[in-house]
Amino acid sequence: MMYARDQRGFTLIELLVAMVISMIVMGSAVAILTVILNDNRYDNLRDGAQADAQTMVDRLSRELRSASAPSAGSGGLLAKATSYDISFATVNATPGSAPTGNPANQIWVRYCLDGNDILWRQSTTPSSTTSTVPDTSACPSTSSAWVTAASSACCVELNDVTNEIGGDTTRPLFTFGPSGWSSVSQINSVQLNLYVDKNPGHRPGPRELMSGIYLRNELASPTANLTALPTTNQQGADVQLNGSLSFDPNGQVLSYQWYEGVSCPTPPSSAPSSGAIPGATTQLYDAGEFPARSQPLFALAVTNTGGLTNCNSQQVTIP
Amino acid sequence: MTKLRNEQGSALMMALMITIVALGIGTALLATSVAQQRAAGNQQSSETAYSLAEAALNAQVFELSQQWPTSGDAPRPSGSPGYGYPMSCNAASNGTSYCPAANDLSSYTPGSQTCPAGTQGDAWSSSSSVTNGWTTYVRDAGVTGSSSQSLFTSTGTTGEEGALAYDASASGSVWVRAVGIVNCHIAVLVTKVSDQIVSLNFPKFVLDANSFSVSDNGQKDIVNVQDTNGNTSQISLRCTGSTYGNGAQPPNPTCAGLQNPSQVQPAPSYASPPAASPTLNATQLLAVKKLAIQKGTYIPASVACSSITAAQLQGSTVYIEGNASCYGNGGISIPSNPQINAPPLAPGLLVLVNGTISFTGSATFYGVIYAPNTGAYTGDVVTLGGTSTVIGGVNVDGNAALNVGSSGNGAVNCTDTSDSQKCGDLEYNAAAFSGLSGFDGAASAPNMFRQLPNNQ
Repeated sequence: MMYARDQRGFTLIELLVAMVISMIVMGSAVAILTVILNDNRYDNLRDGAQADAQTMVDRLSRELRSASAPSAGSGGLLAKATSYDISFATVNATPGSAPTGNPANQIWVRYCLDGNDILWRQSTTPSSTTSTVPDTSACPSTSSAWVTAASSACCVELNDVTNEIGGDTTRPLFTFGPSGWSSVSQINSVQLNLYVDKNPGHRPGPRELMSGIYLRNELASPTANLTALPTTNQQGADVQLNGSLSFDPNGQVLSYQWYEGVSCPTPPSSAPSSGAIPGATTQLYDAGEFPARSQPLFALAVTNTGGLTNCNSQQVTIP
Repeated sequence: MTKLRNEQGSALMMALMITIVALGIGTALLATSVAQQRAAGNQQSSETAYSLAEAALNAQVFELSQQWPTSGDAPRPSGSPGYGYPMSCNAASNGTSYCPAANDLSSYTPGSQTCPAGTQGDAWSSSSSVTNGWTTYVRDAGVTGSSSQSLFTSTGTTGEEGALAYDASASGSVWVRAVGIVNCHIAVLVTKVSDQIVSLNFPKFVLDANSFSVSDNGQKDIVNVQDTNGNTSQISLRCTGSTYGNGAQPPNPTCAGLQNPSQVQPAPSYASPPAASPTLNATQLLAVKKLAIQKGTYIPASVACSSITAAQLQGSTVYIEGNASCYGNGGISIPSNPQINAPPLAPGLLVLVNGTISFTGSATFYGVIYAPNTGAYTGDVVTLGGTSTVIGGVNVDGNAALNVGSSGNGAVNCTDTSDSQKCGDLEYNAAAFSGLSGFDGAASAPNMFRQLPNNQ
């Protein structure tokens, strides 16, 4: 009997149960495999997008590191700096003849993120180093000052940049240093956080690429410090001017110019227009004789090799 | 028992299914992880290569700040026909002049690695293989105003690759190119470096010494404290253990060895208190020395002073070390009538550190003579004999003196304002003090730092 029962086969119920279980298992497996295949496909797409984004980040980093002021004496390297829009002058990395009025072969570059998750790069080569950045009101700008979209040289773009998706403002593309900066001219570093997502709203989330760029060409203003002390000699009261405590934060050599009878302009980022004491180009200067109880006014303007100036003045009371 | 044995087949099937699914998930996760790790690794290697290149660049700029590479300061190895500046520096160049020390960059030294074929290497390297490490290049930036001063071009007919490896144009600027390779990732940086020339705060005294003497008792103008532009100078005398001055002319200070009040015209004012000695401290003196080295007008202590000629005294900054034998008959002697730094040349600064100098003919020196007197000499360090003239000023440190001589060039109550007729053996010239300067290192020129594309 045992043998007969062992040979009796499966009942219909058993078979149905087994089929149902098998279908569930197989269905689950197929579903999971489908998800895996889809994820793999998205992974490949994301890898490609990430590679493109990395190329863009590398290029942006290189151009920011090479950012330079269009002309000496103009502090600040960025022409525009917002969370999703940045413009600056940099050096054209493509070898070639520089325009006559633009011997450093600088170009204006703009990176901006539009409402369609596209990061645009626009550029143009000015004919003069004293030019100003072209229109940046729209992203991308349609100004003819930028190389137009019809040109093959125009508008490298990167898709699927989701920093600002759905109006999200919590993921700025660009953040700037130092903390507390109040004007674009004060910016000396840029933090780049670029989120790339081929399938927004679905797992896995966006991939983030980061880079921090110190603007090494940023020009910093020197600081003019002066003391003016009266000393007496055989002829009367003399005034010794000492500007040796003046300094440049980047260690650049300073040139000195002393002024008599005038105060510094406001803001003190330029020298007085008159009153220069001829030949007074060193830290120490003997300003000559002054009558008793007079109150001569002296100013010192120091200028670094980058062309930035700072002025300070002091009034002296002659005993 | 029978029922369980019949169900073993389905368990195996389910286990296989689950295993396949798990493998699939695992493989996908692994692929994603590998891709992410590779991307992160590439990014990290690129950043490290940049850091290595930047460190090498800064180290090379530091080396240039210690010694500026000019034609006047080129080490010439024995048998080398050209200048001895290295065309490039790397970790193997440790100890070579003008190269960064390997220890300065040792923390960045990556291990050996074979990079895949096609890996971008240093575009200036002649080697076909790519090797991890750093390399720096110094290249002449061209003459002032040329396009190569504004724009670095890597290769080609106008490229910097073939330029000379020192400041051959004497423009005070060179390009420094630095390459960093880490894990087969490369970064190429370049900056223009400029020498930093600083003005010296040199006191404007026509005569600054411990004492001075005049060997004539007439009314000739021996010392003229007013220059042709109307600028006047005080005389500074320290009078320590005074050696000159007969107490009669003038009585204040007694170390002014005048024999007639009119020998100084116009009537002089004496600095009170006198200027401190030494006039230049060790740092300032070193800055002057480095500038002279840069200009090729440095004369080391090994050169006998008696062999130095008037032609060697000409230059904007001349620095003579001298030695213990450089006094008296062993000192510098300038006979005849050379015109040293005569217009249109700018007045010069002549520094004689250890020794004496004597003009015995009718020479005219335009500029400032400064004697730090490190040999603590108490006699005449500078002697203006014959009908020689210094138009500028003389400054002597320590207890040494100045012998102004006796000729006065024959001028009495001299009113000449054009120097066509000399008004004394020692004449003040304020302009001679305005251009005195020293070398204060080197620094990256503002606005000239670049990160180049990897193939440049």
